[in-house]
Amino acid sequence: MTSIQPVDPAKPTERGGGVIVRPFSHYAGHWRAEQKLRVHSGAKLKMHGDAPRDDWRTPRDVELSRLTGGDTDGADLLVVEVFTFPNHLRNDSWGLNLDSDQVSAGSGVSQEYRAFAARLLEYLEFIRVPVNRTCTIRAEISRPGGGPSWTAAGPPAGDKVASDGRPVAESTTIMLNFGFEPRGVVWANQDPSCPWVRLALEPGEACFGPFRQMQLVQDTLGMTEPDFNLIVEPSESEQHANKDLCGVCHD
Amino acid sequence: MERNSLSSHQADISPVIDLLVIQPTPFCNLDCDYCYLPNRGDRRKIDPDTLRRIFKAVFESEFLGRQLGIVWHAGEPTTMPIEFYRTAFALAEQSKPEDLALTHSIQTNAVLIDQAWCDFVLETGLQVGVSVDGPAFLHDRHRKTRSGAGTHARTLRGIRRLQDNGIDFHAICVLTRDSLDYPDEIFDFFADNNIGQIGFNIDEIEGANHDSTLTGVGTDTLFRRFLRRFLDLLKQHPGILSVREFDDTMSAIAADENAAIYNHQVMPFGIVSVDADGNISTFSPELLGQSSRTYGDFAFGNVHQGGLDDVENNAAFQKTRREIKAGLSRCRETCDYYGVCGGGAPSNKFFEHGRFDETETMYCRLTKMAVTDIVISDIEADLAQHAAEFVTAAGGQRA
Repeated sequence: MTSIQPVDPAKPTERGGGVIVRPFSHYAGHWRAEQKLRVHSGAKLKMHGDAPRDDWRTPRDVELSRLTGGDTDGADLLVVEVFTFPNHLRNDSWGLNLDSDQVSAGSGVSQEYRAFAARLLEYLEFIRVPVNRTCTIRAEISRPGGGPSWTAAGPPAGDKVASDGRPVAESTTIMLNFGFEPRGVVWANQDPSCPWVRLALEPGEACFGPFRQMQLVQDTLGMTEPDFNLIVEPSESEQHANKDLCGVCHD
Repeated sequence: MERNSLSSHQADISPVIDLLVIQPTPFCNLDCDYCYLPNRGDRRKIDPDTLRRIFKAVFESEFLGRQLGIVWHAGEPTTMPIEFYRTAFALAEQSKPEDLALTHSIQTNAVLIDQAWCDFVLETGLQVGVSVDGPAFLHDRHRKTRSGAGTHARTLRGIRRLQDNGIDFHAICVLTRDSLDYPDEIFDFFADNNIGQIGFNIDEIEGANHDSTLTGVGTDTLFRRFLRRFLDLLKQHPGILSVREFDDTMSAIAADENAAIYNHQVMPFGIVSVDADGNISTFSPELLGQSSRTYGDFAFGNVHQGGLDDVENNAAFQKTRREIKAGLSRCRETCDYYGVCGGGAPSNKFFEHGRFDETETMYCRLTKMAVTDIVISDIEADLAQHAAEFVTAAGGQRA
């Protein structure tokens, strides 16, 4: 039987590391960390990589305090901030024609998608999420019944300055849940004895941070609606720095 | 903007009563933290004799025009029984001049709106405005019960009842500092709930509300940022929502430059306000029930002691009128926005500066200057874009 260990966000590991999850200054609603965060006893090895054990639980008070930065200055920890985005963007997104055949045939991104992406960036800039105009906005859609898939974001590479003059970590990645059901975002530790941390992103919620070791869990099991997420990522390298909004892919 | 280019002298216009505000009760079932009303726990009710005298005073006044709006306000009007309004409306109808077009309206928090109220609205044509500050997380921060509970769910229930009955209404959304970060969410709330007409009021320094969340450093910039974003959302989603501030400013800008801008708050008897005891006030309705060492309680008369003619001879009224007129002149001479504003709100001048012969207020800066600047910059941007498109098209034709 696996023992449940307290979560220590300051404990660095080869993968995962310490994490603080907190609401961003723009959060429309009531933040309840105890409802949004779960921890568990560690990973189990599977053929295609580690997967969390099935004993997700509500963090204890001391764990919750650490996970939300209550008793740490946050130095050297991965800080993830959660914000909300408005319904009109979600409504607009469902009018997009995200045709995978079109994308795979190399015909590029539709004008509608570009316009939508521009409106999304306007919103992110308005609420002062550190977003770089040279980012890539990637749509991910998973159909219900599919198995969990994993997408790693990163890696970090220097700093840039956002449109409002604030420094932006090149590796800042934003994930927005445009679907109708909550989706899990998991910070994984490779050490199987170390707990993992999961954030439940509700529909209309998003999070951002320098996700060096974040694993995005697309677990569609038990879901009834398509899982639709937008990932706003830094451009892959300087050679793409001047590219505008690009890249729509389907899972 | 060209100074004073859009207006002539309001002070020369003869007064006409176009709005009668009657306080059926000072009582309100809510306790919103930005409310200007000082006695909203007072359960007094207007009596039928007072009501009769109000109608007599107004309907026999030389300042009465051909149209009059009666607003039942200055307390929550739906805390009075429907039967009261049925009797009051009948009394007004019986005693009014034959050629006077009369409309009745209420501004309500909608918490008590039930099917009986909807039936009454449908039966009488009562016009309804609902006070709702957008989504629950914003609304419930300020619009609370006396025990501190949020009221959004109950207001929304009242709104649903109105909508289920096909009753058209407008909404008043008070903007506080909290609101300024959430234009998208406020837009969504009204769009998602099919509320098509809104007006933005602000958290004003007025009456019992001695401070405002909008007085902090940098708020002006945040307010403009909010307006800019909101206007962009309106343009991205045309036909969903109309906002009084943008529409009124557009109309004022588009008006004939020789047309007089009419601001009934600065006109004596433009608005006549009467409280539950029959005390008469005029100019800004927010003055009713307030008190001041210099001006007394702004009760310039009482319907039990005389008519509106007696108000004219009241010393406090004359002093107030003189100062408001002086303030109006100063606005006209010094303010670039006079042409779209018409001299501001006397109540804001008084509550912010302690006197009426002042000019600029926070209310002016946010609801007049900021709105005007945003609308004009938007018109200019549109014109520039159209000009660029025209040049491109013309170049293409030549090629």
